[in-house]
Amino acid sequence: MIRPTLGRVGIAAAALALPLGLAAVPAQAADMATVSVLHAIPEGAGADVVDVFANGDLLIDNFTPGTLETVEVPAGTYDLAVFGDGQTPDDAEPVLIAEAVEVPGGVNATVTANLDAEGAPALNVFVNDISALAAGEARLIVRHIAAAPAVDVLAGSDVIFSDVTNPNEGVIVVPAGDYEASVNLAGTDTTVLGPAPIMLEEGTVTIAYAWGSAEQENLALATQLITDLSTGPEGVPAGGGSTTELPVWALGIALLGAAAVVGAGARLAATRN
Amino acid sequence: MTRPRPALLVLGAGALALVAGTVGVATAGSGMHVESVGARPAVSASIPVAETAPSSPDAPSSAAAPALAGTPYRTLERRDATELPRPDRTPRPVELRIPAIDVRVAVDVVGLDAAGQVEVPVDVARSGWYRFSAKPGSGEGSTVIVGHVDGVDQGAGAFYDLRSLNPGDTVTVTRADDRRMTYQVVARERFDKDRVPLRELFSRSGPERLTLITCGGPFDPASLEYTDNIVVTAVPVDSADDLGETR
Repeated sequence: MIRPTLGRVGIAAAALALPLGLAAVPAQAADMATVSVLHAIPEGAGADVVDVFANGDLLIDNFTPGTLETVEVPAGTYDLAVFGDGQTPDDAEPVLIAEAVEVPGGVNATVTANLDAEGAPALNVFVNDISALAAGEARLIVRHIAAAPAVDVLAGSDVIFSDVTNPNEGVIVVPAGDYEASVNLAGTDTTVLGPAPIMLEEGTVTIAYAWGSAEQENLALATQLITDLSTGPEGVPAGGGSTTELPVWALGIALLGAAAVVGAGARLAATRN
Repeated sequence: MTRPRPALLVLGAGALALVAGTVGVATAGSGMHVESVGARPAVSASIPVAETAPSSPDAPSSAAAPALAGTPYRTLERRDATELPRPDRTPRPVELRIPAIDVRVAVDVVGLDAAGQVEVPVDVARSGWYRFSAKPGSGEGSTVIVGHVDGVDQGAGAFYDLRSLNPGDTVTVTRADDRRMTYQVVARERFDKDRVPLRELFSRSGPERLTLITCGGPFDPASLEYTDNIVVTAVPVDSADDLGETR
């Protein structure tokens, strides 16, 4: 039996610090939370089929590697426990536990069952940034939950996150579109994952997880999507005089408006991460 | 240079705006109408509920909802996370036809301008598919096509008569793969531009639908814009028959 210490007890504070007022949470969900669980312990590590319990009740049954399950739970404090297939809190000891995980109402979080940097099973809790996205934007979150050293994450040839270690993440807002994603050993040109084509859809949070084990040569990518966070465009100017010629004064006003919007966007971006 | 709308209409619109105050209450949550005919399909803001797939053959009945019986937990979705979201190769729309108002126009691809507004094709005889909206036939979300009502120096635009469409009218969209999708109008609405429910109209989730947007209402000489947006919503017709050609 492995009973690791929970490395992310700070989760409660992190969750509360989120600007929940900005999040796109349905009104009736104020006292509910959305929790996803990712099984990211590779096959053959003693957790091929597990059951997940929350406060003693079965939460996820017959959970297998590479699977993501999303559940809605009441806000509250949870003791999470992972058991071998068919075992229960009444007749067995858990494989993994995370105690007193605070789940505030309206929050969107992901719990990962994964390997730590040294290859031991671990549970980690991440709060997902589901704040609204401006039209045309997508949010990419990359999480290192693999038994592997520090990595750099690249989009095309650009390093977008450098020196990411298990169990940490990088968050960035980018123009929606198609990208080539790859993961290199930090500070090197040695690619350990990809390059893989990936679509970052407008208004969507794409969470990419690097999981598995470098030593076991089963590093892989898993993804989670949280959709429909776009505010939509600012408007549709579809008539009148703005087709070919504009008086100079009108252009001035238009530019001022654009500058104000860009300024607001920059402030938003600065507070996001 | 001719102003397309007489000043008299400004007064008319003022009266309509008063009416909107009462109409808007009845349609709370979907923006404030100046006027509307028909109804758009509802778009839920919550996470779509997917089927819970049994994870393995030796999971007789417990993988489905009964597993959570007696608990306050509700399963929303279980999926294979190892599949990456691959680039979408669904063909884009290239032509729009609305027989009831003699519209047959090319569809360009448009994005956003520097102010975060939808780019509308400069040529008022063309329309534009908003590239961050759903593609026709994608099965989910709003496909948005915009077009000018007119231009000061170009006259009436492709969407000039959008204001006279009614529920039941047919709209067809042809994609780059020549597949023709047929829709039926379910709603026509006019919103003050400050009250357009942009998030709903542009949402990529909810029922599959076609959203046509142009300008309308009185012309504001200060902003060189009309004060309102006219929005026509159409939903797919089950049959792929080309109903439109006979209208």
